[in-house]
Amino acid sequence: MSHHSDHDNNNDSTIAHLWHWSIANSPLLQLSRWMLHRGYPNTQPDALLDDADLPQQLRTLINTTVQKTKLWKSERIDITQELIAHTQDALQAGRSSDQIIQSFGNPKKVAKLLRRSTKRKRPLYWRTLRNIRRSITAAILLILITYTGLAARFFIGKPNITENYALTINAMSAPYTEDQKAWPIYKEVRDAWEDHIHETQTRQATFEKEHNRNIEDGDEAISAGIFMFPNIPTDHHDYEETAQLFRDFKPQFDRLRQATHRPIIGIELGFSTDDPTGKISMPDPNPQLNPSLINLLLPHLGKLRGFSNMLYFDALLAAREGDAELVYENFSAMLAMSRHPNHEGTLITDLVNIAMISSTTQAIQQVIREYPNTLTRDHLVALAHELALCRPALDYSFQGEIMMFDDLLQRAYTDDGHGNGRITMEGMDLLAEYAGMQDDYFQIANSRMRYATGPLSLAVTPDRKTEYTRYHSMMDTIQRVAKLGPQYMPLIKQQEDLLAEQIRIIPGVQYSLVDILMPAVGSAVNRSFHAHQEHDAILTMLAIEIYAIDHNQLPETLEDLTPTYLPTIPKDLHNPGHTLNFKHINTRDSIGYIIYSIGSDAVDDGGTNYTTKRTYPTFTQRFPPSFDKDNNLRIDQAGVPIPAEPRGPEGDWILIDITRPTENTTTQTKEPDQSPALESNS
Amino acid sequence: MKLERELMRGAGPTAVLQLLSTQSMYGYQLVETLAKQSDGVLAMGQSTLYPMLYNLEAKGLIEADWQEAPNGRKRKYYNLTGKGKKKLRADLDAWKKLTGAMANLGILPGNPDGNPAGGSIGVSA
Repeated sequence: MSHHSDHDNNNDSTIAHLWHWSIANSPLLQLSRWMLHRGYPNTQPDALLDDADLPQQLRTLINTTVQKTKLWKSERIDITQELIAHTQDALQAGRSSDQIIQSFGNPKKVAKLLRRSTKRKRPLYWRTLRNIRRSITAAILLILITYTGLAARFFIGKPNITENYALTINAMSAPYTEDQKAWPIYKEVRDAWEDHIHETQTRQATFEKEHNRNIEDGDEAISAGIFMFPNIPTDHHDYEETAQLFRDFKPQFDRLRQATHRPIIGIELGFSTDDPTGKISMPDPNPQLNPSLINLLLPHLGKLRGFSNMLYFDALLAAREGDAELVYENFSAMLAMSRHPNHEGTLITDLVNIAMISSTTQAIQQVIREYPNTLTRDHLVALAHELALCRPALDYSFQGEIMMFDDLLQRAYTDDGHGNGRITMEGMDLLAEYAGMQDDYFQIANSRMRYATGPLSLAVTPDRKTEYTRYHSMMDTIQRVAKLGPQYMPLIKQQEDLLAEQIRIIPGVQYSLVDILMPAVGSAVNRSFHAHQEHDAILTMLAIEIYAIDHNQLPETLEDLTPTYLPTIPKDLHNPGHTLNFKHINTRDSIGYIIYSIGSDAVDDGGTNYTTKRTYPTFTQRFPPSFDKDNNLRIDQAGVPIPAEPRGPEGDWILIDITRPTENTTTQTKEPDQSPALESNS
Repeated sequence: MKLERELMRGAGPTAVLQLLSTQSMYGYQLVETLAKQSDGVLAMGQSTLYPMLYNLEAKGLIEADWQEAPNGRKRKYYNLTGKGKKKLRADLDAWKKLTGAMANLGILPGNPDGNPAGGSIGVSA
């Protein structure tokens, strides 16, 4: 029993001991004690010196030294005590005050040494915090120094605008005489047309407005015929009136058609002013006074598209009235006019050029299908020759596009004379403007924020040479792919991915002119290949029509056309190694032929059109890039990208559809452009 | 004679550790003993001694505690720690090698077998 009791007592004692030890050594308690000791010791250094009873000189010496250490109070007390003890020992050993002072050294220096060594004794947490504090301070200092350096570089840098690209573009017309320029006639005809249709247009528009305002539920809204050409249905209530407008305008149209055959458009381009009357400012000889070339107005593009549509309708009208010569003249003029947008060599003008050729090929196809035997063999041969000459205009030169970018570089960057430079404040403004964030940006434009953030752009914006190289490298790839064929389109995707990787270091932040201004090149090149394919198809169609006149029957195959009617059979760009497909149509309802490409699903569906309406057959769907396990683009030994599985919709791309209703069917004449493929390409 | 600053920086701590290896000592006692035993070569004032002691303490080579002397005055006594003893042994080895090398070069008198032939501080182990 007592044994148990002793044992229990021992246990109690051990537990109590551990309890007391844990309390006494708890980190919290120790910290509290230390804090109290550090900040609020009971003893004061002065009081210790008072008690020590030292000669005044020595008292002052110790007091001054200890005060200069600027240590914590507890540390100063400790040092004071030790120095007092030392001094008392020295006095006791017979040293004089002077000797002690002499051996003591310079109080300031002593204080510094004591401070440094005492701090080394401080707790780990304090030293850790001190190191963190020092690191933060060093980082802030580094940032400040870096920022100051960047700010100096940023604000000193100014763009050096030397090239006058606007004058260069306008100078392209210089070698030509006035009678070689089409624009003066275009302008006159346009003004005359607007006067000519003004009254009718106003009346038709008013009727449209009134009618649509009063229509009952279930009735269809109408459109004024004047706004619908070239495809005004012949049974439209405005058709005859609109057709008469065209007939009455024939003398002016003759002038227009003649003007289209002039070598150049010869328009002098300028910049918009804020003048409400639409005044234009012509380029100044001093390039610094001009806006960026990207702001150059291209007012002729819309007008040329308008003329093209007018000539299209005039051709249909002539075909309906059996005037073959006028039909041909309109087509010939449309083709000739398609060369005129190309004046500046920008992407947009190239696209307008493509659209105008595409529009012409549709018009020719529509007339051949709906008004057979209208055009004579000579007309068809002449059109085939003229169309063949239009093809080079589809190639991308991007001369003006590249000038626009180079102009932006000279306006945004400094120039070190060796093709390099750094971004400037003017460049930052341009970046904001073209990134579409000018509203946000210019809210802070006049604030200090703009000046504060400006230098940082130096740290994230690529230098001039890098931007130049990236842009030109992309343009080289586009031109290369445009020449080589659509199966090389993955090279563009590869280049785009590379650009994205290089540029977008900070996601969502656009600080590169290349990133902001690089056009949607993939879709532009895609559009170019479409135009090529349409162009090939229409030339084949003309060859078939001429063959049919000569042989009084359609060719069995396209091989029958070569070499007399067609030098070679055009390739199917969706089907490398194969030519376009030709198929006779002879059903109960329709008779004729179609020319088709197997389309972006890469499967020959026997000439069945794309089932999905408005599906745009794209070469990017036909030749998607494929990548190896290291995420590199797969390319075969001949340097051709190996495509992934085609992703296009089922069906074929019917390029030419010359099928007509048979006599035993009641099917009405087709409305033009109802085939989805053609519609989507208009 | 006073040692050059750099020499003092190297020799001072070793000398202090050596003195403390024999007994606990307070500041003034260390100053006096160093001056006496080194013929004044290693004489140092408070400006040198106390920062040195605090540094050695921060490194954990020595530890200090306040004790009351027979005359009733409080003094801070310094003792060598285990870590300090190790450090002292390492320092002594280094000094032996150094003085041996100096002797071999004829800079210091003595034999080249290792025992230093001079020096005011008894740096024998």
